[in-house]
Amino acid sequence: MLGLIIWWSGIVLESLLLVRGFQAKLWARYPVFYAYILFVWLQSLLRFSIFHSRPQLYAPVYWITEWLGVLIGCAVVFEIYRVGLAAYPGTARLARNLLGFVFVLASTKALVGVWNDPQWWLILTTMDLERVLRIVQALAIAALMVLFFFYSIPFGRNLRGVLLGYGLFIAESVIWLTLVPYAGEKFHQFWYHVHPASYFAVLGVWLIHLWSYLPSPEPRGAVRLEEQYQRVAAATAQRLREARGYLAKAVRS
Amino acid sequence: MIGLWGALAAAVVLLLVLLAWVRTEAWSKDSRSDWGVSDQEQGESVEACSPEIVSQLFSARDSKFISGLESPGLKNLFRRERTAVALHWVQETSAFISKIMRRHLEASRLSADLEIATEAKILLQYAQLKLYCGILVVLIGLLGPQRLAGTALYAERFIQRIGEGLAEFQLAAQLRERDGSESL
Repeated sequence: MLGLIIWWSGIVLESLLLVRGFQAKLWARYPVFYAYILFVWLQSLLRFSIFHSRPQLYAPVYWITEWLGVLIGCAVVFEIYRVGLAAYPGTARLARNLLGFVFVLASTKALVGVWNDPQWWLILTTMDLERVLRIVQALAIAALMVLFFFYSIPFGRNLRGVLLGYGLFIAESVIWLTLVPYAGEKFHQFWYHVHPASYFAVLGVWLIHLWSYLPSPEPRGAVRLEEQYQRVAAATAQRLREARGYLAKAVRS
Repeated sequence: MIGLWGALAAAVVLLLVLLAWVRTEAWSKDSRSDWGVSDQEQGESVEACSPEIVSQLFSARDSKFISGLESPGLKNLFRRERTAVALHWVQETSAFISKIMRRHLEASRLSADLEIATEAKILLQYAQLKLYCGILVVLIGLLGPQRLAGTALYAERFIQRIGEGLAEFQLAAQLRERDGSESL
């Protein structure tokens, strides 16, 4: 009964998040994030119906949808980078290099694994692969956040919520996927309660931060640049007027 | 494959960075200044604080005094304000370091006899100081400024030393340039 309540509560919160996203037109600003939430919502409904109508199909449906979720999640990380650094081309370039480095490092490690043990790929389970991808996402988010720290990139409430909620979700997923093969029955029971609780917390963070649209603070550098440009333009116009005056005097004399 | 401890370390690092970010965002909302812009806004007036001020800012004495008053509201306000000031100090220090580096680059790009080893050493020290500032921001967010007095003073002394070193280097470069132009 408790499991059923948890399941339905999650679906209700996701629905609310989607409704608010469409009402506040946030989906147009964060299309990948809302596509992800829509996917998770559909996935929850599908899993629920399969679980009750055809339980024998639940495992393959679970892993296929889980995999699709991981892939769309990668796109969410990219959207955080794209929206957060849209006004900072220099930092964005640095972030691109940093993210590239993280992905190259992960790919190299995977290739070395295959090189040393060609059977590695065959014995790898779906859960192992998901764990690896989640870890890469965790490192990418951490690297992005360190960069945001370093350059003091200001965040709007909406993007802060997306990043915070998704970061928490990824951290929890990595811990869960890492400890499951090692832990015993007690841990499974403990995490059975922690997992939905943390997911509710994530949905709560998203709902609070994405209830309405709040614009991200504009970088003051751009404003100053415009001011400086106007100042230079005014000074140039003044000098041109003076020059025209001198020229007129010279012609008259 | 990524092992058990590697994966857990990645998750913990992410959680810590998230926590530090949330705390820093909340505290520095009012005192935030774009590092690159604040330097321009204040012209060339960015200067390093004296070690006495840094020592006072990161000292636990005031915190102990406020704790003695046994007012939770005042304690929270003090902690928030002190953290905001400490973060502002780190940002200003970082801007100061950038200014020193920019001056150095302006001076050294005119120099005809650049030594790669010296340049690499200066660049490395610059990167080290910037990293130090980044770590300080994270630690202030996580621990508060009172526990970082030693670290902040070390950074301050390091910055002063590098500043003096770079000033001497610039002077030497200028003298060399002048000697070179006189001998022509």
